[in-house]
Amino acid sequence: MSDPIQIRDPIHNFISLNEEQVKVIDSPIFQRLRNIKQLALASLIYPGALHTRFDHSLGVFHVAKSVLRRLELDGTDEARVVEFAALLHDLGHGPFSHVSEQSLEMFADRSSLPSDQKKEKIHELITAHLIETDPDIEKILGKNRSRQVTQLLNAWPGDPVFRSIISGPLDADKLDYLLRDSYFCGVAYGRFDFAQLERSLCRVKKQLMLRKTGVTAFEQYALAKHYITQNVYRHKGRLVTDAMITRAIALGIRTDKLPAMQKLYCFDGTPAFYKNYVTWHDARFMTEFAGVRAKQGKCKDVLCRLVDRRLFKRVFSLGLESFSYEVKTFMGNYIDKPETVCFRMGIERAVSDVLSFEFKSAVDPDLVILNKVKTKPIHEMAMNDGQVLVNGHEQPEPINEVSKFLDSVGTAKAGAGVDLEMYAPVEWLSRSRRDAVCERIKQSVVDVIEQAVREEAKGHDSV
Amino acid sequence: MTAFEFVLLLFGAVPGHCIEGRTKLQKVAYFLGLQTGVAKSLGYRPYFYGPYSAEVAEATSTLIALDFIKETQQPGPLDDKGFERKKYRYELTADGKKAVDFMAKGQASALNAKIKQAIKELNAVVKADYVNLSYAAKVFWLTKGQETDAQEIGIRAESTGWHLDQPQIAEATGFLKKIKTRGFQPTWE
Repeated sequence: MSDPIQIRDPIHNFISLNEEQVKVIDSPIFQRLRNIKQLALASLIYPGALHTRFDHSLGVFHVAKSVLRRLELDGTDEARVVEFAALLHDLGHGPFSHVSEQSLEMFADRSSLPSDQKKEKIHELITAHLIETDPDIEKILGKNRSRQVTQLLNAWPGDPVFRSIISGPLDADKLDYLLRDSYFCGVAYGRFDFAQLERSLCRVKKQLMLRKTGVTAFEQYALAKHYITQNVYRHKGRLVTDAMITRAIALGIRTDKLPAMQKLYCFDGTPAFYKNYVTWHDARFMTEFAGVRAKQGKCKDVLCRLVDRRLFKRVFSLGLESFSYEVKTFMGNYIDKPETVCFRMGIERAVSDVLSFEFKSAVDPDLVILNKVKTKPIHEMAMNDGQVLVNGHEQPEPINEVSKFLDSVGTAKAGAGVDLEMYAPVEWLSRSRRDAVCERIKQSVVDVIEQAVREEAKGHDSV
Repeated sequence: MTAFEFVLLLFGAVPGHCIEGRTKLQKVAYFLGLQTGVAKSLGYRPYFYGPYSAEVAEATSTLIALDFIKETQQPGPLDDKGFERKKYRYELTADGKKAVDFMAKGQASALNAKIKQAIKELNAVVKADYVNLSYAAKVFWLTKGQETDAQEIGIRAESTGWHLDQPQIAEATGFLKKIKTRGFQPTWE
């Protein structure tokens, strides 16, 4: 089939699509991705970061296609499945991309799910369901191919190399988003020699591997991932904006009891949930919950602060290694989930008291946020849940045994860490005042966390 | 159960509180996960060197960042070009031992007891060489513990992207039979 459509893209120049692929991107469910920003509200920190899941999906498609061509796998049935999987891999994203994922996990009604889905990630269930049941997608792909696409995204029974193009350390998703996020944020951190990395990919023993000519480009890619994580994805302002959206959703559901918010995030796997879910995107979310007709309440207050860019401030940040072994153990294992909400709220309430005393005015405990920020070590981030192999003389070798650079940064300590942070709706009059306040309240916050963990542990002992 | 709990308690229970090699750590956790019925939660997937869990790797890194586990590099064997391959050694620290006690006293006490029992039953796994353990883990992944013809295992291995020759399959099958007689009863959640 010829490629009738060529789309201009700032990262890959021209992206070519055939008739079937054009039909997919023209479907309403795919067009919805135009209204979901790739990096949520990162544009409040990096004004250029207005790119969307739509652009990224096209980019991933383009990379996957070019890798298939490089491996001489293009034109096969499996290749067509890979191309569709690349296009559709983000179909299940909700408003503000990954921020929605956390809220879906928090508020899902797992008891209503079939037993084989109870432990699945909700956004993955949503993506698979939409690919398999959306009438437009089904009409274009057919039932069988839709099923193959979801298999490729989850558990692929076929040749592993196809799965590696979609998910793995060298997948098309990462090869696109590092370059794209870097470009739109206006930073150089995520850049690497894509052309060299792509041309050094090879297929050996049904595995996606690198030729030795790609080792330097991969080293660059590993560092690019580390640096963009440190400077963009983990930028303190971005952590705050993500945490504020998550908190606004929680307040909308628990405190303000907004039916529309409950309907959007309380996943139960019913057709009614999906029907509603696909009508939401970033702009509708903000209009509905922060617009002039939105119901007054704490959810709206937080969202309006985001609209006006009156961000919460980071009032505390400390590496978990600085705490007692009890806190390190408990918080190292801590995950924000329904069972831990009371514990977290206890800490937030106590810290709001500390802040109210310091600022001599009441700080609402519902607007104080505890955040655990985890950073993976460089080598683990680069390998991304897998192993990168270099096609050696006799047998494949792990890249860290070929690259002296990756070997030297291969320890688990390099780049790794867990921080506990607190955000609150306070204002700094100056940088020096900020530093002085943070220093002054530091020990009090540490004491609050130590005390909360001790009490929680006592509770478990008595049970 | 989280991978953090599992890996920490595993180090609290293995002899010497120490495991040598990243591959060995992955495979020991795999077999102990199967024996304690938590393997599915650990998210193992097939990779080139056998079943691999990103959750276990991430939990190990976090435990190292928190100074509960100490990672050291040791000189390893020379490769065919005379290049010395490093071997990673993981050992529970004094703080890590306190963390194990703290966790075992709390809600993870039942998991701790299960892991300790599993280590008694799977002593051969803990003692095995990482290469043999890797073959055994691959064969178990392919057969799910069912009696399977060696040729068929070889075919399934190829389709997964693994190459297992007949002596390797025989060795792995023998190892799996041995641990079965000593109480290996894998369960999935």
